[in-house]
Amino acid sequence: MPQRAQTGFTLLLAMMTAAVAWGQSADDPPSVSTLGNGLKVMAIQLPGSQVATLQLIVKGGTLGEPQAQTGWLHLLEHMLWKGHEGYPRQADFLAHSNRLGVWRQSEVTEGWMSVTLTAPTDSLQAALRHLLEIVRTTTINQAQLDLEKRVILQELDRLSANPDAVLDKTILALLAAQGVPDQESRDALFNATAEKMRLLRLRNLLPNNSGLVVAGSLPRDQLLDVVRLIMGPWPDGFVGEVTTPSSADRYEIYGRDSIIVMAVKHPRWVLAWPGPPIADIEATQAARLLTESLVGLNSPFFQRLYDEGIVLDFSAEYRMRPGGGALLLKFTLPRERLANTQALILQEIRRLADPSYLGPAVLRNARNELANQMLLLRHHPGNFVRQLGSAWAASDLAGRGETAFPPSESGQQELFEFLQTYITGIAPYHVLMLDAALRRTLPTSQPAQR
Amino acid sequence: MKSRWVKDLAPVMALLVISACGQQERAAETTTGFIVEGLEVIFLQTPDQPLVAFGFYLKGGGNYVGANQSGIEVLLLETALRGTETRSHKSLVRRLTGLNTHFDVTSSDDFTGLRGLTPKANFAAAWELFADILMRPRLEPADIEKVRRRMLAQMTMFGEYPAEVALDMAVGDYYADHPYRYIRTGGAKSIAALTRNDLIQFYRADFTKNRSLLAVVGDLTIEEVTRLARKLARKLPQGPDLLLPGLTFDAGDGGAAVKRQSLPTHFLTGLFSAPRPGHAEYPAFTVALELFRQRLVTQLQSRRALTDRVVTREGDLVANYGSISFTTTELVAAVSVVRNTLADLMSGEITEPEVKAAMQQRLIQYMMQAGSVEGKLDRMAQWGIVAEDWRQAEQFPAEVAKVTADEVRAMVRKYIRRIHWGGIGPSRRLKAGLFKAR
Repeated sequence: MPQRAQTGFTLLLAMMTAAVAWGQSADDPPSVSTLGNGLKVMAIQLPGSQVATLQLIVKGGTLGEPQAQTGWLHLLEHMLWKGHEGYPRQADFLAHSNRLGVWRQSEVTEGWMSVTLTAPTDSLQAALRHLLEIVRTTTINQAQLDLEKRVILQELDRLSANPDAVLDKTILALLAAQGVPDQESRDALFNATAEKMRLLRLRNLLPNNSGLVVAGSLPRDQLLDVVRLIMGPWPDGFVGEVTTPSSADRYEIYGRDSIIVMAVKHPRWVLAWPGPPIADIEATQAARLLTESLVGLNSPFFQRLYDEGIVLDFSAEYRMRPGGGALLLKFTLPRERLANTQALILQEIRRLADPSYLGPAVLRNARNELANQMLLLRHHPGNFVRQLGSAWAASDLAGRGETAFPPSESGQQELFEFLQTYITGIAPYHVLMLDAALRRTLPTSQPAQR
Repeated sequence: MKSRWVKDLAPVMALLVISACGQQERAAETTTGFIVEGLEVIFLQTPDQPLVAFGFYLKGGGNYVGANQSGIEVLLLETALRGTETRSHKSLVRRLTGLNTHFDVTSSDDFTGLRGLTPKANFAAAWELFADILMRPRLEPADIEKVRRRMLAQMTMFGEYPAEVALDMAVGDYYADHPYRYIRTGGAKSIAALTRNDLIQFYRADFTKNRSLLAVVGDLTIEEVTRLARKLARKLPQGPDLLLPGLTFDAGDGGAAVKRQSLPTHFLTGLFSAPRPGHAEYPAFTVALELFRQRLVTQLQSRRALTDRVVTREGDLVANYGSISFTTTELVAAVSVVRNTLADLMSGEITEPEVKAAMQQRLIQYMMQAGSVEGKLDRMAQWGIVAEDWRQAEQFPAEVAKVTADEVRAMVRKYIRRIHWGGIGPSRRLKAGLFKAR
């Protein structure tokens, strides 16, 4: 089955769909406050949850990295798990963290870094202290840093053998128009020194450059009290310049298409359209509704392309990115009649310009899906917080939990406007992945499609 | 069937109350197992849960089906989702979307299932649809072909991920002549050859009460579940007693299957025997495996930078296996570190704080997986079938908390010691002999 509209940004967050999702239960929507040190805190009560989840979002991601420092934030993210003043040796640090029962995750995206800890509900305070120690006092020494550079190379090698990861990296590079080949990343990585990394940490990991999402079974006011108690003393500081260029700034520098030759039997094709800033709630909601409308069982798009067997698989995702989201359609295609299949897909995309194509029943189903996903997510505190945090981060930590979802009966007009503004008639970036044998049958470059 | 099940109706038996966690007062969740007119049912009552998850499972899975018909249950159920004798595909879709309901097919080597997820208010209507799909599948030839094509494409795509290739190779070496091996290798061939007649015959012979388990999770009453289960049970034939082939086996000494391929790095997966979920040693095994992972993270990743991550899996099959996976560009050094780490676990010191840390990690993983309504359904069905006692799942956290260092060492010596490797990568040194114990 096609993946559900990838909910990478599932639910344009709780924060934005709050009224709908929370409207179905007695639970409070998230609240957003700012501590004296500038740390923004979003607190969500998930009654009955056995775990508490914390996600710290630090502004500034790979898109803002100067060319000579490509990969440094990734390296800093790795170094966060190497030890801190309380446990300088990594083995001791990890043993301490494991004993707390903390599940650790972290990532660097184009626009931000996130550090997520999940712990048993009764360990909330301990987990918060652990988080604070990590971001405030991480020790960075040169020997460990050099070792970690090699770990990152292992990671890059692993990802470069995965067709999905290669596709993802390539389409994002096209969208950002700054496709950084692996080799450049690797060179820059080796220029990082412990001193420079410490400076990077001091300029980035600051409360006044960060947001914290906290979710647990406690009422949100109590969650906030605990956060205030523990994170309040985290001193603020001077935030280095954080660059978050919009997609439009770098539009078309590298062109709109790319072909990747990789040993895949079934070609993959990804099409991407840059969208509005995440803070444009109505447009972003419309984008979310669109992805769900495309993959819904009753969607004509789904029925024509997947049900009728034109494509072998597809997914629709609205990716949250700094400066603006992006609609991504990913297809797995049969080898036979490749060009014909691509033409059929484009033909179906052109039909989106017809206001009656995605009718009321399709939109109703999509809205129900969004509400269901929200209900399900609330029982996955880890996923819920990560997605909530990502959306919050993509909107530059703007917005509040109370932000209203468009009234349930609206949507069609907003969706149509979104399609007209961002999709129909606009040539997408696209990446085609296929094996060498099939590549030889194609012209040297894929024409940009309109 | 164990004696804990009453012969008919009445949710008598095993009543287990799980206290609702968290500071806010919530009504307790209650799991009940019972038999309705010969159909086994497990029901987890979750007060205030707005969604209901439910599943109909055929025990035995691919293992019961055998190599020649491997994949038939999934092909059958996926095709059934495309229309019934009374509803066309279009009408089914209209009804499903109208009810805001999802159905999907799940499978493992030990069972195949049709699952549903629906808002509580729509449960009765969704159930009608669910029963219709189960009891009156249309199985149109064109639909069979569509499903078959996608299944085969997905299988091909799996082969494009080196991690999956390494796993497949390790599975082949580990299971050797065991039925699980046939299932994995026979899938594409058998799926390509299955006919509509095969599906119909299989449906008539095998959709029986003796092979089935019904699981429901939601804010419903036992009476509601019983009533709907009874309606379904009356339409299902009892069928012969379920006789599964003996699955226990000794995988023997470790081995390796390797393949050289131009890749940026090497993908390695190691399989070793493991107790099945519900086995008395299973909790200690999971802690031992977590400790093994933590030691490997320290040795392979933190100290030597030979990999960027180590993934372990404890398995959930009747004839179970555990696994470790990682990628590395430094093949020989990495294999040597794994060997030494294992030797150290078998004969070196294991401290209680280390065990406690592994135990805490295991528990948080359990809590993270078990939060959602679908997670609860899967866990209940999985343990109900593979462990033959769903109550074991509820006892698992308490059992994990009791594990000692001695038990951990015993698990390493008994299970993890003999690793069967699958490896794919560019080095000429990638040979089966590399993995032999020295």
